[in-house]
Amino acid sequence: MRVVVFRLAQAAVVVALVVTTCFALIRLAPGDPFFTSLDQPDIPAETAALQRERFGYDRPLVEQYARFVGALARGDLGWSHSRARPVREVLVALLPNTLLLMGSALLLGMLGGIALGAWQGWHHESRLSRWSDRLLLLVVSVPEFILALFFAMLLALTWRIFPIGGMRTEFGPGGFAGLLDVLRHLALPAGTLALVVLAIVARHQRAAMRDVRDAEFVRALRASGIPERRILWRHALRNALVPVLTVMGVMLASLVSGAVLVERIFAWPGMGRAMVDAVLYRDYPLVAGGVLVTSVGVVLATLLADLAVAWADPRLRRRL
Amino acid sequence: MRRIVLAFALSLLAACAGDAARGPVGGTVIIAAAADADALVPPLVGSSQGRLVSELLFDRLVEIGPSLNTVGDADFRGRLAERWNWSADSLAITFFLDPDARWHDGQPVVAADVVAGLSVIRDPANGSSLRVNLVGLDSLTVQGERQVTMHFGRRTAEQFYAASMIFPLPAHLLPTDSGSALRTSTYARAPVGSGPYRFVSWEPLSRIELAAVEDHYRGRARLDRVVVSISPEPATGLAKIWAEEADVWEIVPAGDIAEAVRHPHVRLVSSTAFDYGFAAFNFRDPRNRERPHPFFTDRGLRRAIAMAVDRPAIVRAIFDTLAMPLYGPFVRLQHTADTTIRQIPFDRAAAATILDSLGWRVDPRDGIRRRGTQRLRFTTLVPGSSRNRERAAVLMQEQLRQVGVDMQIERAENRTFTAKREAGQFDMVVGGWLTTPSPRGLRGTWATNSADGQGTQNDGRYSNSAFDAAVIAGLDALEPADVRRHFREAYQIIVDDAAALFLYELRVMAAVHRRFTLPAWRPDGWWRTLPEWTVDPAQRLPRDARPTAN
Amino acid sequence: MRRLRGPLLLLGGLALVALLAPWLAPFDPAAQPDPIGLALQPPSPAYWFGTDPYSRDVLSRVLFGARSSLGIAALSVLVALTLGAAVGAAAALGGRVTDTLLMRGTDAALAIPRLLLLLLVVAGTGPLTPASLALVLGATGWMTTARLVRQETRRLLATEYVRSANALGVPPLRLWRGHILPGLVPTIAVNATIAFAAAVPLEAALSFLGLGVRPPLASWGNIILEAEGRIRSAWWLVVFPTLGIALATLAANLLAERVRDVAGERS
Repeated sequence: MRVVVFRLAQAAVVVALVVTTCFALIRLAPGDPFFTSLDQPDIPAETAALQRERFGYDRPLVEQYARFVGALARGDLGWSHSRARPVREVLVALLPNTLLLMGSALLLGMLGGIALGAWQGWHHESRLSRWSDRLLLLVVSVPEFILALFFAMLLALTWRIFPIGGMRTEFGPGGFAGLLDVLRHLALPAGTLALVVLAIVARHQRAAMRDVRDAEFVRALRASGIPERRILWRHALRNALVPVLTVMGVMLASLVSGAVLVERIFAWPGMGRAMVDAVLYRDYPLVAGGVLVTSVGVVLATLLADLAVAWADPRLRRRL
Repeated sequence: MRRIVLAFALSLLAACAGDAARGPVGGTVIIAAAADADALVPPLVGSSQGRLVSELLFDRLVEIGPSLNTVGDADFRGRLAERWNWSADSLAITFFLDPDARWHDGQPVVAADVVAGLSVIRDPANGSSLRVNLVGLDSLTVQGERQVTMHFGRRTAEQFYAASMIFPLPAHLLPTDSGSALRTSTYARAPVGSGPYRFVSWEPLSRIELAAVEDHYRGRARLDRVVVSISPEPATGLAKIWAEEADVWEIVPAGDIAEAVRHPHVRLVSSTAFDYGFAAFNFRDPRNRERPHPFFTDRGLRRAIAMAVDRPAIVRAIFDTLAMPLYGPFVRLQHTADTTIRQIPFDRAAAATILDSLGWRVDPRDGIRRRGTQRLRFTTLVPGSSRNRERAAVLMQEQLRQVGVDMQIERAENRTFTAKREAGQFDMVVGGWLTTPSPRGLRGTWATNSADGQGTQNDGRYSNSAFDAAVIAGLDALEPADVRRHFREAYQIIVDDAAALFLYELRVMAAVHRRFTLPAWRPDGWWRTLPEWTVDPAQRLPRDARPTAN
Repeated sequence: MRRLRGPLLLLGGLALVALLAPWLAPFDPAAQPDPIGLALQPPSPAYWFGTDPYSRDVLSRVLFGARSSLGIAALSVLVALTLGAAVGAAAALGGRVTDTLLMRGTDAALAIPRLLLLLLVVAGTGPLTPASLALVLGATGWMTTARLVRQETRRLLATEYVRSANALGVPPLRLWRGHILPGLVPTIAVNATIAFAAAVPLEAALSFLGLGVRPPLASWGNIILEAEGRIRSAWWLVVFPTLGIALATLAANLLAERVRDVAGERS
């Protein structure tokens, strides 16, 4: 328990570092939220000055930071200039969408990857196992956005199995049918991300499983007459999970990166898109608020992964 | 050819002169848009998505007619003001509000709302893009509930145009403290307006929904619902059109026209637009704006560079037929447009000869021209968000290379681009301006930069007093013929000076679902005729079903 | 060792193509013979990989694109490894405070999605030359190396051999250079190939967002960008550069795996 508290404190430090870094980085970029628009020649320059003053962006950076932290302590994340509403409202509106997308991608990818990898590792000499591994290697080697474009072209544009973008059909059905409608829209973006997760997880799992298969304790179990299938799913898998769970934290961060482009291609209203816009618009408060939420998510997931590792491998429990 | 296109545009305009055609009520239109709206209250809006939504939510006092003639008041139509009259000296106009006009909350539209609308535009903190159009408007006085008078300092040809910029706002709902709080108010996120559609919902990055106002003073809009659905990738937005998931896409790229034709449910609607693109020279040193540019202040050099660029070919290569070569800093839709302006011809050989005669000799080692120790090498700034402008730059780069000019391209994302453009940190910039029916913007974009607000967007610091004088004379003239004569003079001066390579003027091709019957596309905002759109009941899609009362 | 031959050959082949691009390419990759008549031609005997919207030859651009894409990736890996090794070693060799500071910093950098971090940096630096792009990519990719190097250094420090050297009074820097660094080589080698496999697609993703290599220079990413909105009609603009990206990434991934396997077998 004390270990967990210590880790949480560490995590808080990490989050503080992240937010501070991003706070500083985005302010180094030229321009601010109040630039005159790209092509519309009629916005006077004095407006920008007045707005800067109103939001305090004309103050020294240290003072701005102090104000930001002060407001944060009061639970006020500030005003999002790019989305024309309080940052809190933006997060409340978009976070559930992102969680749905990432959650389903992660769940599908992890479960599928673990199962596939376990099977591949157990039968690693079989031709099917080897060829499927090569296929997965190919999937890992193609950038997510090209996969997304490929699926969009094939499954949405050519075969029209799935809708091309958005989260639900306009004025579509409600209730259970409405839920199915959301799932249909979720299929392509979540499927693309899940495939990438699946490929990475399966390849790790395959390697781990291959090692476990010939391990001492498995041979012992086999000798005691326990059915092969049961050894695989009950005993071997739990041991082979460790390396996979350790990569989960890192994978989550890369999943967020992938989601940025996938959300864009499939017009999914999520955090990734909002964050890219926020950086390009110099929407200081939304960058800070969004990064706060993302980093809390990544850090917590890493922590959870570590706890899961400890569960899977009791030897590591003390070292946590 | 030019004349045919112009005639075509004019006939389009004439077609929508008649007011509100009636037809069957009902239906839903889904407009696929590339970006979210930036605001929903007209004076705060900057993006075209914002304009679309805000102008459906709010009515103006008066509106310019489809002829887009900004001179006098003959081509304007009443909106919230049902009529108006001029004082004997033409320095005051009195507007009479429509007694039936109501806010969406049921309150009547009163004179105080006109005052509120004007003060929001006037407050510099709001940064309203409508403000420049109010030049000449001195004050507003109120007589009773439904009568307001605008007072002008002096007579000008476009005096009445100022009145069309005013969107009355509900004084009883606006935040009570200073105007600058409007942008962050809850009202601005769920506005109560006076237009044919009322606000329903706004989900960030996803959609905006509007519904028809049943008892609107100008008559009920035909379609029940308007949805703006946001897809950041143009390919995704277009795909929604092909798949009948959405009904309108405003600008179909040239490369997708062929695809559009393959879908029988898609109708292509074309019109001219107010956007033009150009490559402007910087007359000041990018490293120190106080100093002149090392070589672009040389008029002969600028003309030679202009001569080396095949502008019509660039326009064809990027837009196919969806843009026209530009003749100067104006678009054909403006009443001052003049396509007889003498152009600098494309002549690569002549350009090379002129460059030689100016002392810029080709260095055989790399094929780049030099004069003394100076290389003819410069950097062109392009915005990362505009693929078309980047294409124009890449095409120019190769054409210039052939006459020994080394042009580098610096692509910057929008904020960096604007920051650099405004600070003059570029040798050349591929820019674009969105003009209005009035040529007034010219004073800000190309006239000499000075303290009184002239040339504030003239980031390349072009300066020619003869040009300035002609522009001001044109804006001050009262007779339409004089206005045109002065502007013609100004256009010819700036083209002869080669202040910029005037590249293209956009024509837009919109894709619309075939089940809609619509009046002609208005180039100054196609959504202005949206209340007149109807759906043929025989062709209704499931989403056109009448919304159930709730 | 023989198992390393495949991926090494593949990587070597790609590098060779990149180096020999000026001699292999049939056309000048920036030449626009006829932007109206010859734009977007499908693959043909004259243009094996077709042409792009400017009528430039895609084969020549893919060949020259290999130079920038692979060059940027390789350079970025060098930067990332140097940074990562420095941070990791400093954390392992320094005191507790240094270690905590550096490792929490590493965690923080890891908690920001890399693409977002890149965007933040690119927004600040403005338009990038290929060299600075490599620098930026490297500066956002050192974290895993730092963690591994720290872990490995600590393991080596705990070995009998180094402990006795330490007891004999060998100065820390010499200890690091003479005894620890050589021990780190396998870790760093595996890490380099993994970092390389991550950098190639990332360059493409940045180009997809319009922030990558600037024109007229070709990179695999910005060739794909030219297909924007015409993926179905101009598939050759996507397929050939994607092939390049996939081959390079695949070779690097395979190499990393096989090196690890070989090292595993030996130990």
